[in-house]
Amino acid sequence: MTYFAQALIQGLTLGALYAQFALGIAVIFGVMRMMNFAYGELIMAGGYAFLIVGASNPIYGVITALVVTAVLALILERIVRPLRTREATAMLVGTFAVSYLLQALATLIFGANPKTGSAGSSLLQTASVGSLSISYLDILTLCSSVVLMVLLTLLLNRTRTGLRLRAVAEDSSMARILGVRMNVVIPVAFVVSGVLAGVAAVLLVAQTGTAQPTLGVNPLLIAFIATILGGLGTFRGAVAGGMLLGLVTAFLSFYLPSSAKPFTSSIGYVAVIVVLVLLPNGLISSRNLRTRV
Amino acid sequence: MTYSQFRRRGFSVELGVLLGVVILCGLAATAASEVTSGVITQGLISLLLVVSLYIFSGNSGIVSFGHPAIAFAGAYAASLFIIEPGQKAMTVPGLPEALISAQSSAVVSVAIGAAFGAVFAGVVWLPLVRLSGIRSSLASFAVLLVVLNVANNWQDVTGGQTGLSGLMYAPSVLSICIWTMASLVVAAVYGASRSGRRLRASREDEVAAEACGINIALERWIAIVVSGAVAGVAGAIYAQYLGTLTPSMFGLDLDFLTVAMLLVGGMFFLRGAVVGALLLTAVAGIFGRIQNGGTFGFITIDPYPGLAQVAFALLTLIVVLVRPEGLAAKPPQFIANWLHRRREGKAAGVDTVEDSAEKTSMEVHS
Repeated sequence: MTYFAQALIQGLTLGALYAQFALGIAVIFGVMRMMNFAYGELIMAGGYAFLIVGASNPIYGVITALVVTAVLALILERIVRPLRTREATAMLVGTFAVSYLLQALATLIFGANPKTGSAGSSLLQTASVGSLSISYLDILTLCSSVVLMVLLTLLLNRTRTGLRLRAVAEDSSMARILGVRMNVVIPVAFVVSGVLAGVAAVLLVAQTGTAQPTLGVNPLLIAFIATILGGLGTFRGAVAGGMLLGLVTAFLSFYLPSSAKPFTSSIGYVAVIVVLVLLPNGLISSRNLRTRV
Repeated sequence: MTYSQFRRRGFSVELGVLLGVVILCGLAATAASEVTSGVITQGLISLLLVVSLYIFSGNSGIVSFGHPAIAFAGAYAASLFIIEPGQKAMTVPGLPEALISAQSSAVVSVAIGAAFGAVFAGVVWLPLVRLSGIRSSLASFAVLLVVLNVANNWQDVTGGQTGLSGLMYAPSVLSICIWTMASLVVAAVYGASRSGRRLRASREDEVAAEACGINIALERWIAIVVSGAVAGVAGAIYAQYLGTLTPSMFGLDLDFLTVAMLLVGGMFFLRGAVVGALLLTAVAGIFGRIQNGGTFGFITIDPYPGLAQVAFALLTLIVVLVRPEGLAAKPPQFIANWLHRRREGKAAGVDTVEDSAEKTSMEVHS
């Protein structure tokens, strides 16, 4: 029972983190049908910012990380703006190139070896409740995810900007005809994505205490699986997909025989292929994604 | 056969020029210094990979991120046959006895790689050919991730992260040239075949093609099998050239490099594959030398790790933004003028139909 509860706690924290990763991708996919491969590098940049600035004062570190990721997201938006009218593949390759560029720049500036620091390491202490143990960082992860999702829900459902965002995600050409300004709405989505990346970066770096140019690769792949599982372009789907993936990963790592553990991520990728082939709109589908002639 | 019949089968002047470029590269590689020759050889190997990507992506219009997985499969199958049985028994004890003792010559092993690449692609892509556009690209990316994950962890069979080593043959410049030229011919002949033309029709307009009775999934499947065979050759040659085979050789870096090369050159054109692969290899090679530091004439440069990648990514990004159809999509002005004059002088024949078809496809994408 304790073992199960421990797995559940682990699953929920992982799920919360993964849902955050996935939301960052889904927000952008929703408004411009673009799979943002450079999202992982936003996290990487935020991670370096937090590690370097946060060494003296964690609060400043968090702020710097958020500013860096948000600004980078805005720059990315400017770069891919000309690609908006082109087919999805061009955007895919554009963000792939930006991702490669940022990774190479990080190697150029910080070197290829991991940089270590102590930013946020105090969070790694664990609290015990009965026979269960949970680290402060896990609690922080859960809380920050809940807070971010509440804020995002409020933004989407209670503000005019949110209304416009949802309108663009639903049908971008119709929204444009009705006077929604794409050059305002899409940057907002990128900033939201950047902030999500910044928080994710802080949580990741606090966990491991290291940053390297390839820091963002794993979060990107996780977000990639989660958004496709949940249905590309829906916000609910991204959260559900992330949660599901986190829970499944945690339970597999607790219950799978150790010889099979390295193959856990393959299960996720195979699930992606199965979902794409059998349920092209994901587990939670949105009507507007169907292509019409 | 008359010239126009040859042309309809894919043997155009353009193919001749491309084959000539490969021969020139081969000659340059034998004449140049060791470093330069290495860069040129790498360019030709990249070209092999990019051609295999072109066969599928260029004709179907779907960017595949899964080709390194096929290349790895082919390289793995080929490499197994050119490693000492004693060494195989140590690194990959999980294989059946027959495979551990099996051995072959270099050429046969490359052929085995081609066959395995084709089979692998044919089986894995069976469900994927039904997908279009971005979904197909993402699914092929997932295929690559599965293959990398399995290859990295299935220690007994793939050798895990350290992979296979002790490949007995290193390919000569001549054999690399021959394989590259063969792949170009395969790509041109496939492109001119019925299946290739049907697939390009589906690329231009999926709905219209389907309405004309084209079975898009079937044509895509044929393309991926042909493309898989070439990818298998490319992987096998790449592994032989380096003398080892590890999953990380076929990781996300190679994935990005090959896709970028094809897009920079021009995804819908065989000449695009050649221009992209050779140009970007040259850029990477030049910046790679600067990045390693050293003295160039009067200038001394400190080493900057990552510089070559920055140059590579910037160039790709600029081309994707500024010339989305690729650098080689339209011929340079003086060649265009010459072609125009040549066509003006010629009476209307079978060729005109094809030329106008090519022209419209260019207009659609420019």
